Amino acid sequence: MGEERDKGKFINTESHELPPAQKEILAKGKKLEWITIFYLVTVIVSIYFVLGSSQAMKAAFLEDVLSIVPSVLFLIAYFFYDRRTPDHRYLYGLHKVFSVAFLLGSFALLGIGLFSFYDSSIALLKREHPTIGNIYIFGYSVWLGWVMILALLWSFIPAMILGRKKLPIAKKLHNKILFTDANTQKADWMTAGAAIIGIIGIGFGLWWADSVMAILISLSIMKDGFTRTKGAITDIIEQIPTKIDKDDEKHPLDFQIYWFFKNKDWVKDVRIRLRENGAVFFGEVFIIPSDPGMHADHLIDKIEEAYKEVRKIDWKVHDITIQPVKAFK
Amino acid sequence: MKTLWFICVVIATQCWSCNYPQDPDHTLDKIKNQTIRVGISESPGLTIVDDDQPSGTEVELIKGYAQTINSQIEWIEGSQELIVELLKEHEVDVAIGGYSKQTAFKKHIGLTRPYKTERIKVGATDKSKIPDEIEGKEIVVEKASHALVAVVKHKGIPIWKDRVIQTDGLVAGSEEDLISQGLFVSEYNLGTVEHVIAIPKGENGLLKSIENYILREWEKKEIKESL
Repeated sequence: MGEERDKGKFINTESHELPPAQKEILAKGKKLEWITIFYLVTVIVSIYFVLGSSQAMKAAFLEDVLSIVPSVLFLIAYFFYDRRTPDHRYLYGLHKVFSVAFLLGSFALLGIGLFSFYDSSIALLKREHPTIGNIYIFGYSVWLGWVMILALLWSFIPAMILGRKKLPIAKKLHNKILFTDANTQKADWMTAGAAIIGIIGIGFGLWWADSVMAILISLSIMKDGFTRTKGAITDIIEQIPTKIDKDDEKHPLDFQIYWFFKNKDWVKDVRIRLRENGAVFFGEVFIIPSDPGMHADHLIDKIEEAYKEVRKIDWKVHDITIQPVKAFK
Repeated sequence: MKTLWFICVVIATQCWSCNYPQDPDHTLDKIKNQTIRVGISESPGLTIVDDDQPSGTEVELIKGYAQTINSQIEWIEGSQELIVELLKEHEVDVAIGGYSKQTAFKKHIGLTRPYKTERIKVGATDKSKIPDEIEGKEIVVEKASHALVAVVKHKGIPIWKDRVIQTDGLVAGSEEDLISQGLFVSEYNLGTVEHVIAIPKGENGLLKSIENYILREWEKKEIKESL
């Protein structure tokens, strides 16, 4: 509706093309996410069958169920992003689907931590002693704790490898949801490790080992989830672009863009404004030309030339509006 | 890294020795060669509490187990609820008297693997009389029994009897009982009751010791008797 009316009225941002090297990295990232989802399903099934009454096992199980969320969000975000190029309806493109996915993914991580903390604390306060029975294989009795540890090892080693592989990809693509996902895998293997210690502890008659380990795990997940959720919210309310792994550190590109314009001989002074739209940056540049009597035609040429050049600094510099002014407010 | 290996080796050697897993409250150590305090509640067929000596299937089981660890038995009689409270306070070591895997107390106590699984089925004097489902059909059941629960759950119409007797109609009860009365039984189960022994929660060493007895001696004995 109204599409005819809108035609020719708006100008949308250009559709974003990743450089070939980044495209390759992205394809690798997507493949890893599919592997992750498939792998996590096998982990969830194997842990479900040996769950028992161990608190740490329960925490690990929940953790694994919820840790599918970031991977799925990443793929869903890409699905929408790929399907729709910027048009008269989405003038700024769909870059922000990644910001939304990042928020939901970090919130899931925070939720995992909070729930597991609550559940394990209650178990500890109630002094619940986990009962772990035995299974019988060919007449030999095997303590179920060992079977649990086996399932946890399956949730430990591959998660560690996947997380380590994703981390550099997320950094190169400046993709915060992928980064969150890599960290979720870290939470996965840490949870599994702590649960293993908890179960060995139960075997030594230390009933509290299990809950205490589960609480320690949940604290670390909670801290991670909190910083990430905070980062996602500040991205959406458009704080200055930050580094992917340190939300309190500015991204170095703002510095580069400022000096790019400042060093132009036709520019007397410059101020910039930048924001993150998913993996790319949008922004405005305000310029006081050095020659106030500069011919308008000449100035427009200079601006258009600078626009093309500034985008070559980095593939993340996507859309910059350059505005000549007489003075800064 | 070296300390890590050291810890692994210590754990492994500990675990290979027989007393792993251990009890947080050392129940097994306390009852071995000593006295085992057994909480007992009346449950027809399984436990019968008379003036002196209790009897029944579960009583036999516990007596057999106590022998293997060379312990005397001290019987403590009471309702299931009372016994569960005593288990929670570690004032009894083991409890018998009709506990099943689905017991309402399962959050508060530890349960062993089933020593016997009772299948509840529909029986009749003739195979062709057994219906595919019992919804809306009249079925004779014992008044206080798991079979009654199963019949009601399947929307059958129960007809109470003090004891199940030979009738021309349908009867529900445990597979064993029905067959011993010479009845034909259904292929399907109306329900199952997995009979277990109750222990204090988290006493994993005791659990392993009882489960080993159930598997190595009790189940073999049961099979021998049924032959």
